[in-house]
Amino acid sequence: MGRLFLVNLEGKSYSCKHCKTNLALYDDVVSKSFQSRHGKAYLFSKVVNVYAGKEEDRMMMTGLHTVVDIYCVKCGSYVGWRYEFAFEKNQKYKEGKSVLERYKVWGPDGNNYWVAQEVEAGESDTDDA
Amino acid sequence: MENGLWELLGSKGLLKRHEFIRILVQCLYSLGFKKSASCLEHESNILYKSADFGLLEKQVLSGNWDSCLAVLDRIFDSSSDHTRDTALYLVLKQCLVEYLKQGDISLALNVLRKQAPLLGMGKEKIHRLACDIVYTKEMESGEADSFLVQDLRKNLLVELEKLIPLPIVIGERRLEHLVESAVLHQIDTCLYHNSWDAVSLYKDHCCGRDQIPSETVQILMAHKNEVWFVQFSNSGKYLATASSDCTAMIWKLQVLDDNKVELKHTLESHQNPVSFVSWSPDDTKLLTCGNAEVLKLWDVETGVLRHTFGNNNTGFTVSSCAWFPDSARLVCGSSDPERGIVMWDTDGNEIKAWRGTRIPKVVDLAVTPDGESMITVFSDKEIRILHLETKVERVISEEQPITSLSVSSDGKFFIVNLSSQEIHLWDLAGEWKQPLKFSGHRQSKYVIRSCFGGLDSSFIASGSEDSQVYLWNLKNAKPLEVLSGHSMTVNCVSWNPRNPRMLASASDDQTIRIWGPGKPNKPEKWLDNQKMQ
Repeated sequence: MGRLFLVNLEGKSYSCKHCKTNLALYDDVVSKSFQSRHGKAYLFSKVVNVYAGKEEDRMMMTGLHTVVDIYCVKCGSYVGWRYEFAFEKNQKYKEGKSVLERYKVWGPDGNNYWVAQEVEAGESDTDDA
Repeated sequence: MENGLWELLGSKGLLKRHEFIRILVQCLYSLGFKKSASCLEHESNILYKSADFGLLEKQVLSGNWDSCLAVLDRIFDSSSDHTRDTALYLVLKQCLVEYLKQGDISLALNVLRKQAPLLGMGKEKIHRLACDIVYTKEMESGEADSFLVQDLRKNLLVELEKLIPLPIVIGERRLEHLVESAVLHQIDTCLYHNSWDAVSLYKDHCCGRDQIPSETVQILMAHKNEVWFVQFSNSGKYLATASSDCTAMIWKLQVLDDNKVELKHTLESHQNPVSFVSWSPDDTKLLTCGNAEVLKLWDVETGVLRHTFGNNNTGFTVSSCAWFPDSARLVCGSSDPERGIVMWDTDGNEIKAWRGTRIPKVVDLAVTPDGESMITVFSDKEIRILHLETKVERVISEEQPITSLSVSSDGKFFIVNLSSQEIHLWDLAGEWKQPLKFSGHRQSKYVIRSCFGGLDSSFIASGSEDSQVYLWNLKNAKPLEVLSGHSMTVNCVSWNPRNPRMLASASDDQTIRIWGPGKPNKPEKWLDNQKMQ
């Protein structure tokens, strides 16, 4: 569909598990203590080569947030979500930042992450820094 | 005597009646209607030539220098010294020349010694005047005949007219100048203005949609997959398209058939999608390349493949290329980091290369029409403008990734599409601190291209991910027109450089659309246009 415009990242980066498209830099990790449906997730200040889905209000462990799910531009697979708006004041720092699920990306050292155990249903969150 | 001195004209009462009539008289004289002009002078009691000037004219032409100087003194009473001095200088010079020609040396000396100082002329100036007289060519010819003297006096009057202040003398062709200013201002606010035809004075100038391409005129279906690139040739007679079906096509405009576009050649040789083409400045050769493809050179007339570049270096994928004005040298940028930028001749010999770690992946590349500068967009936010002769480089860092680049036909400006859904316009000279920004279209995932177009490159057109073509007038950051028709993302647009009313667009729906002049504005649209002004 058109000629995809892909941004190349230099340095230690996380890539889409399916098509290896660069998604974010190791240097842009803000927090590693987020949780998602499938386990660990990292909060990044900046991700590239993703497009967003519809805006939704979701109740997370830390409160109500307006989020959009983000998908890899090349293969279209779901990779995480982005915070558009936080209702609670102490969660405002998340606004504009994106979460990538560790399970959906290749790590910088080629490390992968396997779903270890069943995590409780419902959206998770955390990081009360 | 001037009549109705205080009467005002115009809806806001800004125009003085007697001034208005005087410039009307001047206009009639300059158009050659002497009888009408003098009739108007009689009827209105307003003379074109002011009383003072009439008097001065009489004195100069009959050589009454004393009275002439007295009149000048009176006229220049309140004006700046500079013009007064120049006028006096000229009159005295003429006066002296005449006296000397007649042989009246004592009179001449009297002028220099007595009269000039009386009029306030400095000693230095008097000396200069004397020197001037001696060297002036009129003195060489000996005895002066009356014709020569009259000629000289007429010339003097012309020179004096330029110096005398308003309102005694008014600038020539005043009415013409005022009308032209009003028309130019109307053209300035006309957003659809796209032709050099003379403007009608009968109504306020305001072009409508019929001046710019806004309706689909033709749909070209030949590619078997998404069309990623389209560009008119420099002569505006041909069109080239490139597609993800791994081919490029050359089309021809049939001049005798209302400029209908017909397929001329299909260029098959690439193994991967072709995403970029470039016409040589003389339109005889075409370059094709793709983000994951090598660079190939084709002959336009026959459609035959002339050369594949980087033959011995398979995998030299080229993202973008450009020609130099001689149509013999070309330059291309690699889609791999560090492969760099290479300049070739049309036989495939490498002329020059820029390689190394300072050269990341090239997103897009262009050469200015004069061949002096090369503009390169590097992955993914950097624009570098290199002056090839002086090797001076200017860097512009954008804040968002850039997807494409386009240079205006006069080589003064260029535009870049950003993936943040903005188009930025920069000047090549480097005087602007901030770019001009245009928005309204949709772009987030794909490479969307834009181009300049229309009369004097006063418009910008761009593709968009919402399957529409967007048109802007450079004066306005918001779109002037949005053209619907395609059913999928419009990847690229091209405005015919020789026909400001013809535009082509390439889309993922596998078609190319040719757009032409629209129907004149519907009444509501016309009102909107007025509001924008």
